Amino acid sequence: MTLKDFANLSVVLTGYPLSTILPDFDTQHQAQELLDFLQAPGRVSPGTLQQLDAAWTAIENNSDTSVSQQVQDTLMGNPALARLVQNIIMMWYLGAWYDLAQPLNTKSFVSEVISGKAYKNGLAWGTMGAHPMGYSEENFGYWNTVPVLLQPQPSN
Amino acid sequence: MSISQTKYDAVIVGGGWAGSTLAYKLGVAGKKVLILEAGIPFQSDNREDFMETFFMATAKTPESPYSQNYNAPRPSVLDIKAITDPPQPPAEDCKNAKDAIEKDGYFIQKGPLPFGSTYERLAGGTSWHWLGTCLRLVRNDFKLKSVYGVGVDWPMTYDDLSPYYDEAELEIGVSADVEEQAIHGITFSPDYVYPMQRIPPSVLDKVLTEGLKDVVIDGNPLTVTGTPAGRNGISNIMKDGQPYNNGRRLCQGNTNCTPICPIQAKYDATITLNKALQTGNVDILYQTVASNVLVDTNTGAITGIEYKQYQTKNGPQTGSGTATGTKYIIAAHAIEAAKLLLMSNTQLPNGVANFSGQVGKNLMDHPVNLSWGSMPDPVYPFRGPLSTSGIETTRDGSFRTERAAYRIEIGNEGWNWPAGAPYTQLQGCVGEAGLFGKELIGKIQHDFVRQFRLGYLIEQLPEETNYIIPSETCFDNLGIPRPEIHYNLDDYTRAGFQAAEEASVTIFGAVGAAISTENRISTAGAFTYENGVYYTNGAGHVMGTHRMGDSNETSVTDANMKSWDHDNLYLVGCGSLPTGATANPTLTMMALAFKAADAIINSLNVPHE
Repeated sequence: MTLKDFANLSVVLTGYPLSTILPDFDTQHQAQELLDFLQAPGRVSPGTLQQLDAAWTAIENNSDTSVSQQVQDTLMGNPALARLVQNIIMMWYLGAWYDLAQPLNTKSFVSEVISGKAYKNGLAWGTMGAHPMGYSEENFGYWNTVPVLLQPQPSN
Repeated sequence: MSISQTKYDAVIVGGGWAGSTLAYKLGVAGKKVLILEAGIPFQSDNREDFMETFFMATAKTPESPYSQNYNAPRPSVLDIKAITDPPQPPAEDCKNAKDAIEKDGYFIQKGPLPFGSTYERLAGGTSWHWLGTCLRLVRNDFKLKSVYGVGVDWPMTYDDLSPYYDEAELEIGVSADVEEQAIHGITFSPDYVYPMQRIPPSVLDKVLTEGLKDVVIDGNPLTVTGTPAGRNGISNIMKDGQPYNNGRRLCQGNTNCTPICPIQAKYDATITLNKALQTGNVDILYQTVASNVLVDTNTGAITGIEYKQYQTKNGPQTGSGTATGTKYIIAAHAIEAAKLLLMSNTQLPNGVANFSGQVGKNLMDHPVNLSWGSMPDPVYPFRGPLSTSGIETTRDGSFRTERAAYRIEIGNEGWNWPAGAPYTQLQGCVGEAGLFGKELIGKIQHDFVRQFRLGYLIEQLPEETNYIIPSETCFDNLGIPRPEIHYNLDDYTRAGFQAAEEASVTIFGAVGAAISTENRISTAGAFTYENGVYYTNGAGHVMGTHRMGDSNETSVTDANMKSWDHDNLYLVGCGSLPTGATANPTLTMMALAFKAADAIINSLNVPHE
């Protein structure tokens, strides 16, 4: 899977725009790190990655149905891919990796943190108007006022 | 002068909170001090290393930034499990320290309830992962037996300790408001101001302040007040006319006080330890674990403290020795201090300093009852210090004849403590609900921002049946016994849990919040009381194991924390507290350390006869 394809897929999965996922001026290279993590030998079977790549290419080439609906139908609705797609969302939102052999649910445990950077760039925190625990770039007293929540619009 | 040539006025076991405070004050007074610190040294780049370890930890526990040290092990909340009946025996191979501790944890838990609190063993001690709460005890906390007929009285009053509270608050740099803290008879010296103004309240604090302003429980209004905090806020003008300045940064609200403040806006004991070392009168031996307190059985005097040394956290013992001085101060953690006394000097049948038989007994915590739920409107958790306000008006009242008091800590970290937020909820949204994209964002922005939790820190009375002893079968990597813990909650404390749950119903109702009990991440502390099921959690407030008192028959030390049995031995730390009441004990421990330091300096200044 190319970086561009992975980024476009991530835009739909996360709900964040490409300017967040793969910004033109990219100081973090977060998408590249997550893709490298995903494609590291032994992490995910090559067959499953190829299946995801093919499914995503088909979605991008089909303009008859909304991308979001196709993701629902052909990725989330495909038992062979749904679990991997969930993990991609969790990578983006918390920098966390979960055992693919186990279902993802409220009883799950993080099996690996991708990196300190991936944790700090986790989207979950900013979505709430907060920051990763242990990594605030705010100023003294900011917690006394209500944050403005970002309302990113997915490009689908 | 080398350590082996120096004649020390005092040898201190432990470079944590109490030990650093004592060393600093003795060093300033010109006394020569040697600290024996079991753990690794503190270096300026430790904090960055600890942060990276924390970021990479799969479970962000209070211990997660600090790796296990098998030569000076410490407990972890991940090892707290429900106790089976009979308790699971230790693994047969528990003499293999690393494997056994990795498998079962450091404590040998005998139950019937698991002891849920943990600590750190490195320079600076558990101050590395303290929350920062700096409450004073209230007046009746010092005379529980006299006023309410339960527990024991302290061998001092609030007024005796008040000047030392002043001293501790200055050293820590506490942010708080005098008028807010004047509850239940707490008074301050004339014109007293805390070093810094109270930390601003969170959005949640303000919602609760407004919502609870007319609510009364057991005769006490539920007044929300700023929690005195050992974290940097806006300076006050001090008595010398100058603004308080400790040279550290303002709190950035990293929402990570426990397990670690990334910018040291929160006080920790390495600050005072460094000041102690800078006096030029204090030496410290790191990676040096006290293993035996030597006693002259004819005179009762302590003659030295034997220690074992190591180089790496899992390596072999590399050295040993005996530290000698005029005075000896055990300022280790409450559990480690008791363990050391009990395993020392086998010529004394009860161990060192233990004529009373009370060493290791009266183990107390503030068992925590957690209530969590969703507010009708967003309160934006995961922002600011972990806690900025609390309810303290519930800490005293005539109900204490029947049931434990509590204070209520208001948490700014959503359901993180009770239910693993935001991980658990996000796993549910993505895994079970199958959400992605805009719908996922919408769910987070609707549900997660309404999360809040309250923590009830419940009083626990001193009981001889709650105790710690050195294990006879399980040892650390240096061959030093691991702590065996026997622990339960009595009906007084259990009734406190019941009252706390009833209060939660009232509080949640008053603010229109929905109570949640979903996704509780730990059920190890489950117990029943009058047909109700409750769950206790550790507060990390380990107290009582070498308590002060008025008599050598019922207490281990006098009010200056001097051993009744050994004239040159002092026992200083949270183990000194006769009762735990409801205030987080750290500030009181530091005040007591300053009090003990005065007594030790005075004693050293008296010419020997």
